[in-house]
Amino acid sequence: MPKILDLELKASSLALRVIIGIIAAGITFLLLYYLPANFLSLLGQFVPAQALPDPSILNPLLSSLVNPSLPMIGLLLTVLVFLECLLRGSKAYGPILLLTGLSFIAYLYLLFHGGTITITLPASLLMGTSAGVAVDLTTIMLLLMLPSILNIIKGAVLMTKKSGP
Amino acid sequence: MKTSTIVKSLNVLIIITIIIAIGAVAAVAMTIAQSAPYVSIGQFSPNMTGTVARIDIPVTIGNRGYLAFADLNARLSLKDSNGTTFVEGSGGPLTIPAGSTSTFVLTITIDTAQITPEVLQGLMTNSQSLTVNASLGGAIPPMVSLTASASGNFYWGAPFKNLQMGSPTFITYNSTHLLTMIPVSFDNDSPYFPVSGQGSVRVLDANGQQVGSGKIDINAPTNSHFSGNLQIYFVMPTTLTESLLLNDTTLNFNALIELPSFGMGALTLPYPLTFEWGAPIKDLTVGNLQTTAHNATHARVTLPFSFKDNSAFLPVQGALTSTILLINGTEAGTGDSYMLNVSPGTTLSDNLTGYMKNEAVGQTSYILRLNFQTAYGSFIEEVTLHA
Repeated sequence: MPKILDLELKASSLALRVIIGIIAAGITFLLLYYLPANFLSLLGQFVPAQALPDPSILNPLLSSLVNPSLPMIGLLLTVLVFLECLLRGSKAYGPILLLTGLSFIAYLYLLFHGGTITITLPASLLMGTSAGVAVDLTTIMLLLMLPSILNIIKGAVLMTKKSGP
Repeated sequence: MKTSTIVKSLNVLIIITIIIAIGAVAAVAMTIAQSAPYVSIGQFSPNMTGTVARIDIPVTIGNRGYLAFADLNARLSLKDSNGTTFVEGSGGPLTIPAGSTSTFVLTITIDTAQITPEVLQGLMTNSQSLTVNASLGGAIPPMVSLTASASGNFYWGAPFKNLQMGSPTFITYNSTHLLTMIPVSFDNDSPYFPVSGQGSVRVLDANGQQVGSGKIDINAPTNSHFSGNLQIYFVMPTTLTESLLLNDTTLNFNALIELPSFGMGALTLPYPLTFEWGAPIKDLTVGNLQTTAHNATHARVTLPFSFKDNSAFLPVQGALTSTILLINGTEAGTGDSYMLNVSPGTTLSDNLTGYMKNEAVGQTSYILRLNFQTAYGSFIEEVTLHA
């Protein structure tokens, strides 16, 4: 019977966990890493070029919207999600949950620019007139963070249980 | 409480919060997506109150979502480089509850009292930066609020940039009218508005009487150069004062030129028009009186005279009669009637003839009274003669 850390699993159970982990990690990779890392090229594929502003205007605009740290945190979350599926019930599960929760909160914070997304439209887009748009999404950001906060608490509780007598 | 119970409770809470978060995002997305097709701009309704033109732009929004739209508002202003506000606009705040339809009215006001002819002329002839300030706001409480603002300068290309009018040239058009050609050129610097149509001009004299009118056909697409000739037809004078008959002078007129425009009314430009007037009877000179015996009572008189028709277009036609007076005013003789027919720009040099009483012959000085009877009027000119 395969053993991972303190967890003894049947081969079939391990295989199921690996499969579920790969699927969950794949979805996480796709949404949280691939999408922000390739946002510009994906946009070009799905939206006709004539409907988009000049790349010299669009690229800096979108780059300012997508924090460069997002793909890295997305990659970290991919690994953590896989481990979370694989190591459920082990002593590492609590810390992994905690780390996943913290990482996802960080991801959301950067994604929502701290709650208010401010876009400065380049003057060249509007006949020399500079324009700014501020979208306050704090409530939605906090709502999306709630499950992760509860995950952190759950991880902490599990860590307490494992380290206790 | 057992750890497993806490973990189970947390699991339930996590599921509930995930459902709430997804539901909230979905509610916002559905509210925006389902309402978007129900946004329509209604018919503009302009009205004028005093000097203020007001245009109401109704935007009807049907909220087919699950959350209310709140605090929808908009502001707009447009100023020229001197800070004069041309356009102001505002609308809201407006709240549209879920499931209902309301109309957001953006009211644009243009105070025409602010747009004086000088300001309008400045806009038409000087390219400049216009300052625009605009803001837009709205919220889907408590999930989303949006504020957008734009401010800055955008380039206003004047439709009549570098408007120049050259020196007028006058030519005779027919027996009653003069044709004046004024070269006109400008650059249509506007990237938006073509200038096409017929311009007109009225020419007024110093008393405000119209003495001429004309037109110019203009076709200047956006960002193009135009040059053409403004044609003005002057009515030839039918009467002239003695001063205008005898003396060159500069005549000043005021031309009011109306150039075609686009929605802002015609551009009216005052243009001072000066005309160098050439006197039809210029430099009138009379030579020495010569007498020869004629009969027992009268002597034959010959009197050389000359003048130049310095007018560019008026011939001098009519009759010239003369009377010779002694210094004390007593009539001493009369001249033969002389038929005048002098073309513009030519000099007449000839002799007047007549008869003088024999007893008046021998004086050193006389007074010659010349009576010009022309198509433009009659006048009498007196000169001293020497025998």
